[in-house]
Amino acid sequence: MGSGRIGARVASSLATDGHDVSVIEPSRTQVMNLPRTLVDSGAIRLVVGDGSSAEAMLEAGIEDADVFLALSGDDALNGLAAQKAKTVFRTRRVVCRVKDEGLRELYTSLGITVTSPTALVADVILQTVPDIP
Amino acid sequence: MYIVIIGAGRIGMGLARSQLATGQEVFLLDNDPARVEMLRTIFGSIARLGDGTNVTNLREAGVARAGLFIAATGNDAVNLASCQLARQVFNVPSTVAVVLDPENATLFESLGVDDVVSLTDLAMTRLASTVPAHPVVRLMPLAGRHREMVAIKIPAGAAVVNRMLSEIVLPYGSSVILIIGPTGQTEELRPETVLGAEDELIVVTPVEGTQALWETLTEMP
Repeated sequence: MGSGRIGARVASSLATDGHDVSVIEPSRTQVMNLPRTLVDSGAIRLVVGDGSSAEAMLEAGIEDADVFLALSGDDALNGLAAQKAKTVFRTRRVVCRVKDEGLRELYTSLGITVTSPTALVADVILQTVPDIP
Repeated sequence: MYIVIIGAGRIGMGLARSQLATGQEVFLLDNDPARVEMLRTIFGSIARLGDGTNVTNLREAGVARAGLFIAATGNDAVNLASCQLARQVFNVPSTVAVVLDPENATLFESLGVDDVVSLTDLAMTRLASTVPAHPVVRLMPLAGRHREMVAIKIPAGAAVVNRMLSEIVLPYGSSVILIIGPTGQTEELRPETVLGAEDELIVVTPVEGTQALWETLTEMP
């Protein structure tokens, strides 16, 4: 769910690796981030709709999904979609992108795998300067 | 009681006003600067700019000592996240979320929100009450579902038509909280207020009194 720069890139990689990928994107203009070739060839199934609605999730095939990734730029929307996937559709693996530290702790405590690009980037930057005097 | 309200739109603001009038301590958090500025001219320092999904903003709003937390923004996802933070991080004993999408109502309750108010369901219920039949319309469970708020429309020719409120014996514990006339105007609630045909009464009643209440208000002479 979510095809901003991060979502689009993840979707493209997974589709190129041969996985069945559906993308739910709330905004029709955002879908431009997805490579046209992958969408046109059917390698990525695109569903434009409310990212946290059961209707959009079902259209995207959530009932058969092995993994649900909530990767929009909206923490609360990702949290709702992830909890819906986990609770309503019993998706086995659910990953939620979160920027806010407090929400990261909340969702982790609720048993959702959380990824925070901000924290990851900070870690990578710190690794490039290991020997700060 | 200290009540923190997230989202100061029509619902949040109306709620704040009504709770302040009953002597509750209220705090409003909203993420729209222009709206907060307007709120501060009305309510003073109890309104603040902030994000209901941010722990720091919630802490500054004093959520840790809140007895009741109400999330009434127009965004279901934000309302869920803020209620979950209030519960998990600040141990607020009671959380309430407003939802627009009815499918979120049961989900939010299963995810730990104590009370979910579904605006769409409320509107549908209200619309159902505009049809010519006169059923009991159950608006909202109250007090751990021991009491409920119901709407009952008085049919033309009912025994209570043209009677004063003070003359009508309602089931024990029931109280009329609003009378809506046939054209939608609200009637003043006084003992001498006279009921008319097609008036709709909003009543808070113990659930075991609902049937008797309906009979009292719809019975033909």
